[in-house]
Parts: sequence; structure tokens; C-alpha cells
Amino acid sequence: MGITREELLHVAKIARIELSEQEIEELLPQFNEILSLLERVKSLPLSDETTIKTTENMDEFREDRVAPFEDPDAIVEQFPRREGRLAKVPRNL
Amino acid sequence: MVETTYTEELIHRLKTGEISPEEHLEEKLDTIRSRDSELNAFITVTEELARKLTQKAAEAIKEGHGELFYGLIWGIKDNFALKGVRMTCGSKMLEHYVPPYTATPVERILENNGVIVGKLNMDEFACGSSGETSYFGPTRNARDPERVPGGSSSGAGAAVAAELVDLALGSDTGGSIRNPASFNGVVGLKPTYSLVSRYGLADLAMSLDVPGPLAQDAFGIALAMEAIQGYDSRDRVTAHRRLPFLDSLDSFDPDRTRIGFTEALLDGVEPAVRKATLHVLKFFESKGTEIVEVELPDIWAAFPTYYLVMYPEFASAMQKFDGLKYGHRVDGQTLYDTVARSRAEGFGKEIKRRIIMGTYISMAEHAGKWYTLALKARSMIQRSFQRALERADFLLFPTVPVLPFKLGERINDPVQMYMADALTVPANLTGMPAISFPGGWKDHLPIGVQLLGNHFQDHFIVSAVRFFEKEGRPWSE
Repeated sequence: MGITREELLHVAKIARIELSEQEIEELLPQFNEILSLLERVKSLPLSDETTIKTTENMDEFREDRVAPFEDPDAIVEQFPRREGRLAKVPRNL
Repeated sequence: MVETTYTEELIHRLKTGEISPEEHLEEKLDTIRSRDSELNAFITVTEELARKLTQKAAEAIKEGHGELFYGLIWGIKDNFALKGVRMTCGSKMLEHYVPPYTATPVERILENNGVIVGKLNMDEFACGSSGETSYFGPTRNARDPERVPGGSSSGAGAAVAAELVDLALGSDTGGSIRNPASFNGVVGLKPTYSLVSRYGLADLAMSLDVPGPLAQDAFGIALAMEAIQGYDSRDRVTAHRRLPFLDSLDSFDPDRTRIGFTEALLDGVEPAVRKATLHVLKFFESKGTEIVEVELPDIWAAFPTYYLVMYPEFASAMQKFDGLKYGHRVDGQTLYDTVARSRAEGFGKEIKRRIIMGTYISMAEHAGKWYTLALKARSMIQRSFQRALERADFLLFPTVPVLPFKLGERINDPVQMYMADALTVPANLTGMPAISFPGGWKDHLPIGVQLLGNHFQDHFIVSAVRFFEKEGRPWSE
């Protein structure tokens, strides 16, 4: 049980996080230690039932209505890079 | 027997004009100035805003409608939005982020003449049990600055205990209100899931997060809950309910109450924590409360189950931080580079650890193996707590298995750190309300005792704490 360095790098890539060499060294044993702790759940006599109830209005729906946002400029101001009122991002292709 | 408690007395003085909201604010600002350089409970102090709010509260009092807070001073954990005031979540990622709107619980505090004096320090994105992972430096314990204040609402626990604020708004995903309440010797309520709106709270794990108050006493908790509870159309899970916190505050009847208890909940806790817990249990028994033995055979599984549920929800919640729309940005050649570098630089160690764990658990090839397993285990734990609460009105056990530890002692050992959550996570997994209050003192270090009740019985457990405050006395050694 446990994951390899290559697997860890693959997961980090999917998670969109660049890891330094030092971070990889530190994270790999911790990752495996945590996983083996979580594995203990497998020893529970679990049934196939999942009956989680988190709220009373799970099945309640509301009508989809447009509500104007009072201060759109405050959102635009938060763009890290912008051109006019547009957020500027690097090329994706 | 105690006649009145801190918050009750203060409200009385503000209401009757014995002290004005302006005088009260100045007193608090002085305390912040003299103590916060050491405690580091605040990330942002909003002095100017607080003065404006104080004026508003003073006018309202004059006109005879200063309720509910009459100018009481609030601190807000820095993962709640307050329009126009920086909200960092304790992270470099949001160091300069200014939210364009206000969170519902914060709005309700303002509507009820609460005075917000600042945004409080916290573990980065609420990930931590010690208050040490904030990008803005660790908070220190109000009772012993060499020790951790608990987390993740670290600033909230320390600020209430050191009387920098009267009340604080925190959030609890796995113990983040109760843990710092316990470590700083104050009261903290994790409400029933869905009783308080999460609109404007930066989410950690959506099926577990709930906002709640920290205060000096049960009265403060009841007062805060009267304001922040209730349905909000902007958070679809919120219940169509309001609980009678103030009306039922003094209605606890020990003769008509059954407390559930099991030795399994004391497994592995420090001797002083054990003694304090049994002391509080004996107090209730001496007042006529029936103690019922309950069975929680799978309690040990709550902790690994919690992490299996929380990690993937957290990884999903954190996807929005990409350096494109807001937050920290490092420019790269491609879109992927920009996002991966922004995240690498913007997030601290624990955040990266959790995102990577969560991504692994929810990856298609592992999802069935881990996440489905976690949901089954969570259902099983819910059922056993429900069974226990069929026999008792609430369960009594410690909040944290250990006393506040020294700064730096556990920070490099994530598993040891996670262990501090073992007794607080069941309330989040089950959605049930739980309250931590000072049940004892080992020298100068506080020990929190926890009451966990059935869904929407929040007001009942608050009234039990009130009864202990008035009639009982914490254990000490």
C-alpha cells in the first residue's frame, strides 16, 4: 500500500499545484502515513446503505430568477490582470 | 450561585446607559492596542467602521430599539465577507482580496446593532487545529502565550478570552469553533448544520461547514444565535426554523434530563481532561439528572471518516482559486502554468497537502474505493449517534483530548495534529449541534467539556451550559 513519487506528481498535476523538490520529499511519506490511517475505515462492518441526511430541505427547489448584483465594479476591481472591464488570462491553446 | 454572567451584565450596562457604546468601544480598542501585538488575534482592525457602527448603535439605544446587541463588540473570523473590508482567509492567496458583498451572518450582526471591530486571524482557509498555519503568523493562547490557541478560529478564541471583543463569529467544519473555545476557556457553539446561513463564508467542506458564535458565556451564545440563525434564500440548505435561544435559556430542568455517557469517549484523553469531564458529569448527576450508558462502538472511525469526506470536498472548493478572477497571481507562459504557479505560491503547506489528498481520493480510479466508503461510514456513524440520542437528551464528553500544547510542538506532524479533532468531528459528520464550555482548569490552562445534542436542540444544550455556569463550578487542580 502507498503511492510512488510518480503517482504523487501525477496527482499534483491534476490538482494544478506545482511542487518543489523539497515539498515532494516531505509530502510523500506523510501522504502514505495519512492513507494508511484512513484505510482503517475499511475494517468497519459497513452495509451498502448511505443514508446521510444533512438538511431538511434536500428536495426543495426554487425558481431560477435573475437578480442584479449591486456592485459589479467591485468584482472587476479584483481581477489580477485586466483590460478594460475584462479579466486578462494567458492563451489556453 | 452566580447571579449574572459577563455578557448579561454588559448588555444591562449598555441598555441602561451606565456605559455608552462609544466608551465601550474605546475600552476595547485600548485593550486591542495593548494586547494584540502579543496575541496576533486580528488580521485587520476596522477602527473607523467600528466608530460609525457605534454611533448608529448609540442612536438606536436613544430611540429605544438598540436590540439585540446594544453596541456589543464583535470580531469576525477572516473567512466571512464584509463588503469593502479585506478578507484573507489567513492566506497569501487572498492577501489583498476585498469582497464585493457581505455574508448573511455578518449582515444580521450589523442589523442588530453589533459593532464589528475587525477581522480575526485563523488557520489558512480554516485548515488547522492549532492556529499556527495562518500566513499572517500564529495566534497565541490568551491564557498562556507560549501555547497554541487552538484552531481554526484561533483569533476568535483568543480575542474573546482576552476580552478584545465581546463576541466572535467563527466557522466549524471539524471543530474549528469548539477547539479554540476549549483551549482559551470560553464558550463556543457549533450549531445544527443548516441552522445558520453559509452565504459569504469561504467554504472548506460544504456538507460539514457551519457558522457559529464564541462568547464568554451561554447568554452571549444565545444572544448571538438569536441574530444569526434562520432561513436565507441565498443558502439553499438553510432550514425554515428559528429556535428559542433566549426564551429557553433559563428553562433547563435537571430532573427531566438524561445525559448519555460512555467510557469510549474518554479513550486516550489526558488525565486532567478526563477528571474535568467526570466532574461536570457528576455535577449534573448531583442535581438529579439521570446518567444513561450509551453505546458508540464505531466512535474511533469518526476521525478517519471525517478526513475521507473533508479532503475531496476541500479540493473541490479550492479549485476556484486560480489567480485569474481574484487572488494571488504568478504569470506563466500558458494558462496551466499560470494557475499551477499561482497556487504553488499562494497556498501554504497544509492547504497543498489537503488539496492533493482530496484530489487523489476523488480521482475516478479511487472514488469508489475511498469516497463511497466514506459516505457509507458517515451514514453508519450518524445512525449510531441517533440511536444514542434516542436514550439520552445529549451526550457529554471532552472537546479536545489534550491540553493546549506549546507552539511548534505538533506543526510538522500532521497526523498528531489531526488527532486533536477526534472528539469534535462527530458533530460535523452527523450535523448535530455541539457546544464547548470551560469544565475545568489544570493550573492556568482551560479544559473544554462538550455537550452534543439532537438536530435542532441547540437551544437546549445552550441552556444546560447556562445551568452549569450558574449552579456549578469548573474542576481545578
